[in-house]
Order: sequence, then structure tokens, then C-alpha cells
Amino acid sequence: MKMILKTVALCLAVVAMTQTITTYAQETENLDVLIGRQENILISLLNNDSDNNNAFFSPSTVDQPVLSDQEKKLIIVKNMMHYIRLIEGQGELLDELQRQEFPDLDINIILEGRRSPGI
Amino acid sequence: MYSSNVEVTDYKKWLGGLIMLSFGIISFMRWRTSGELFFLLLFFRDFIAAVFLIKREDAIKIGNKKMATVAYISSALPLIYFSAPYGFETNSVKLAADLLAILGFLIVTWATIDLGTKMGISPAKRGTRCTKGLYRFLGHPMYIGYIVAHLGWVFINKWNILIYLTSIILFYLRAKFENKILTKSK
Repeated sequence: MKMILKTVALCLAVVAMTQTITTYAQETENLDVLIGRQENILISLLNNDSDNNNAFFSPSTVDQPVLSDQEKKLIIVKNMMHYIRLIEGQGELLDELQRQEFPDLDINIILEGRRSPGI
Repeated sequence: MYSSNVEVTDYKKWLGGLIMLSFGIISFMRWRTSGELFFLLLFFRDFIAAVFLIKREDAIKIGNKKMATVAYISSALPLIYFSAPYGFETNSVKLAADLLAILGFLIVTWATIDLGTKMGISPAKRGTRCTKGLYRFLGHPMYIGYIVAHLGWVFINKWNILIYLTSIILFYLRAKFENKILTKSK
């Protein structure tokens, strides 16, 4: 009896591990495509591209061709969050939120700094 | 140091059995909603633990209140592990944590089966010491299983390291108390 119970437990554990690994592999396999798609959505949103509104993260917005500023803000934030999850930048986001200092936000300053390095 | 022979009705086994059964039902419901087979393993473990607890042998010798308190705190501690901050967790960390949890609970389930009707939360002597199955190789395989299963939580949230270390200390104390009771012949 104990042997049967142990075998059942082993089978459940093996199947559960297989399921976990398979799910991870599928998510990783499609990651590049998902990131690319999400980048396009974000670019469309930030460019105020009203023709691409149907590609937004929230399906509830499909029937809303004109969005209010508040709605648009919410959709941008949601899409950014989704993008951060996809690129696994959660840790960096939390660090930045805790620091709340953004001196390096201006990409032009960063590039300028690289062109004429320090001392 | 230890209490004398016990001849009162062991109502705690019914309470323990019911608690394990309720955990089992929660695991079953989570399996139904998420489809994650890990919860089915948890349900299986909780269900057989509930049956063993209800059918458990009478204790020849039980531990004192200090031992019981340590055992109950140690059992309840995993309930307060933190999830990832704001629900954020990377896929690779989640994979590692999930695999460790499955492996750990497989060890816990096997140890539960080996222990059978000698099972209990609070340290007690029920018949002869279990030396079969995993207990042939490890003194306290159930605690080893929990330590493996909970390790993944440390990567999910850095504050879990405090709970994890406390858990290990409490498992060590429980193992020490149990060894004392089991080796004491009278």
C-alpha cells in the first residue's frame, strides 16, 4: 500500500515538474515575438497613433476609438508594465521607484557624456 | 521534563486531521482553478496526512509545552512567507522556486507515507521509531523536504530569508526534541 502511495506521489511530482518546465519553455520560446509586438504597441501609443488603438493591451478598449487622457494614461502604464514583465526588468523598476532620482533620463546627455568622457 | 503516560482521549488528532483536510481542499480548489499539477501533489499529501493523523497511534510519551509550542510555530511559519514585491517575479526565478517546491513536497509526501500512523505535529513517542523508507537514510526527512521546498521563496522575496532561517532553526529544535523523546526509553 505504501509503495502504491509513493508511486502516485512520484508520478504527480514528475508530471508537475514536466508541466512547469514545458510552460517555462513555451513562454521563453515566444518571448522575442511578444517583446517585438509589445514594442510596436508602445510606439503606437506614444506616437498617439489612433489607427492602432485595437492593438492595446486591454481588450475592453476595442470598441473605443477615441480615448480620454485618463484612459490613455492607464493603457500606456499597463502596456509599459507588461513590457517590463516581458523583458524581466521588474527588479530594476523597483530599484528606480525606491530611488526616485532620474538624472540619467535624458538620452542626449548620456550620449554627450560618452562622446566627451570625464577628466 | 516529559509528561507522564497519556491515557486521555486524543482529540487533537481529529483537529489536526480536519486542519490537514481543509488545507487539502484548498489545494484541490487551487488545482481546479489554475491547472497547476503541483497543487494536486499538495492535495494528495494533505489528504493522506489527514487520514494518518486521524488514525494515528496513541502516544506512549509526549513532549512538554515548550516542545509543542516550537512545533506549532514551526508548522504555521510557512503561511507568512511573502510573495514577490508587487507581484513581480521573473520567469527564471519562478521556475526555480516551482521546481524546488515540487521536489521538496515529494520528499515531504514520501516521509509522510513512511511515518504513517506515527505522525503528529507536537513531539511524541508513538510505538517504535520509524526506520523504514527515507527514515533509513535521514533522521528527519520531512524537515529536509520542507527546507528544500521553502528555499525557492528566498529568491521570490529577499525578506523571506528571515522566515527561512527562523524555520531552519525551529526544524532543528523540533528534531532535537523528537530525538530526546524517541531515545528516552521510560
